[in-house]
Amino acid sequence: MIEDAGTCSTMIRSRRKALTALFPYVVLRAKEGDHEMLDVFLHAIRSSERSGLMWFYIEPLLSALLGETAPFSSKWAAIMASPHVPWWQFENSGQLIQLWAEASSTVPYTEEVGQSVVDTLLQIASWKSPTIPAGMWSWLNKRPSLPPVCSGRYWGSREAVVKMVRALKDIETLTSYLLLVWSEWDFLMPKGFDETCTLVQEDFSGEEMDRHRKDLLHRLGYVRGELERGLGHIRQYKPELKEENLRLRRDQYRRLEEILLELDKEATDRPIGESLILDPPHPLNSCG
Amino acid sequence: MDLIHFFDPQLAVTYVDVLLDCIDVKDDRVTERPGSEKAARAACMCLLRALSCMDWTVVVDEDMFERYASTISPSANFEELLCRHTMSAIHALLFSHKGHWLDWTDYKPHPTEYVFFANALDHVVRARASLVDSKVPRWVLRFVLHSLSMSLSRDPPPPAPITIACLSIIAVDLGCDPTSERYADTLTCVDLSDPESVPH
Repeated sequence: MIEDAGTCSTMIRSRRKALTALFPYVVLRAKEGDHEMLDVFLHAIRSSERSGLMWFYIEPLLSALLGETAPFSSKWAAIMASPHVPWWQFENSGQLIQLWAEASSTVPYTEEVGQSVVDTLLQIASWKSPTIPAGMWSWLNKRPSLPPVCSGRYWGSREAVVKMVRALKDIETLTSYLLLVWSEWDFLMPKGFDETCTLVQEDFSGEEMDRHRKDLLHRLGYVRGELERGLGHIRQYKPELKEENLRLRRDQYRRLEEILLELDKEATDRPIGESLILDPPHPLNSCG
Repeated sequence: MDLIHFFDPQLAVTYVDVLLDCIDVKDDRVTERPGSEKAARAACMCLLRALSCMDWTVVVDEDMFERYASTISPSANFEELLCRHTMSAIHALLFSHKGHWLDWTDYKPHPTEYVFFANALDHVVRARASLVDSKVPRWVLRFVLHSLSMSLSRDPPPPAPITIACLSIIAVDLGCDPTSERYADTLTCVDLSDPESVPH
């Protein structure tokens, strides 16, 4: 039906409702082992605006697809579609999120599943949902590579999410979160960026954070290198991007790198053993 | 042979007359006359089918429309009708309503009637496809969503012709050419009037 979703994206954007109506059939095909249509469907809805879809009418269907007794293929299809679902619009979003979380734990892990779950998780967190089951945050530690266009990463840099992840008091999860959110494809939300600077300064200082700092610096080096490739490179996926947007990203990631290098220097300059005597126990050390 | 060949669009006005004989309208509330429930249902289905055979690129039969509109106003309420879904569909088509009020959640007719209904909607959508900027109405797409969802939740799933009709409607809205050979080949794989028909 859709022979080349890439070239049809403009047309698809104007036909979002038809696309939503097709969703149950796409799931049916996936249940029968044909995943090609789901791939095309996901490709198409990624190039569309969520607001024009008829997801509102899909709420009952989602419950059925994610339910305990639903077959694996239904759960898998629903999880793959979950980053494109406006969870906050649903009447029973809390219950649906619970079902989604339980279903996620029953599906064997693949990079694709990881991407979808993390993308969805960050989106749900960004609208301050109190209903996220605590165990879901461990998905961040799988560190799947997120695609260039990723709503979860974009909204996931909001101050509320930064605070939520920090409140877990788990340095591994916090590091994973930063590694996932820092990307050349997105800038960090202003308040979220300020909060990130604070947490990096406070939570990643000291010799014992050396390994985490190294990971973060490695990521920042990569991101900054990609940003140096210029506007043309980023515009592949963000055609609306302007030079000032690129500059903002460069400034943000340079600032974070400076903070980490400073912390590195402090840790290196400090005489061996000094931190044990002078510093109080690291707030995140015991949790993780 | 497809049932469509038995429905002459010129009979639409006759079906309207039969339908109006079977119903009462009071303060926009439409109800069946006692004892006319089955006749009303049959007239509704026949009218919808006749509409699906009409040439939508020309003005809708004025005589038929006037007779219908003289009794049933645009704000009519069909909640109490047994055939409320079919009646609402006819109403939305004739008045070009967006059909926000059309709720499909309780639409679970007999498979034969369901196939008939889905097939009629498919024909209307295809007949209107050549109209300038003619998008498939949202209420039709919600019907499609409802019907395709049932294929996931029902055991056994609904008859294949319903799925085929729904996919055909989606194809039209996605901009596929209903007159193309490939499209026609797909649709002729099944006899849309036969609930037991299986796509090859």
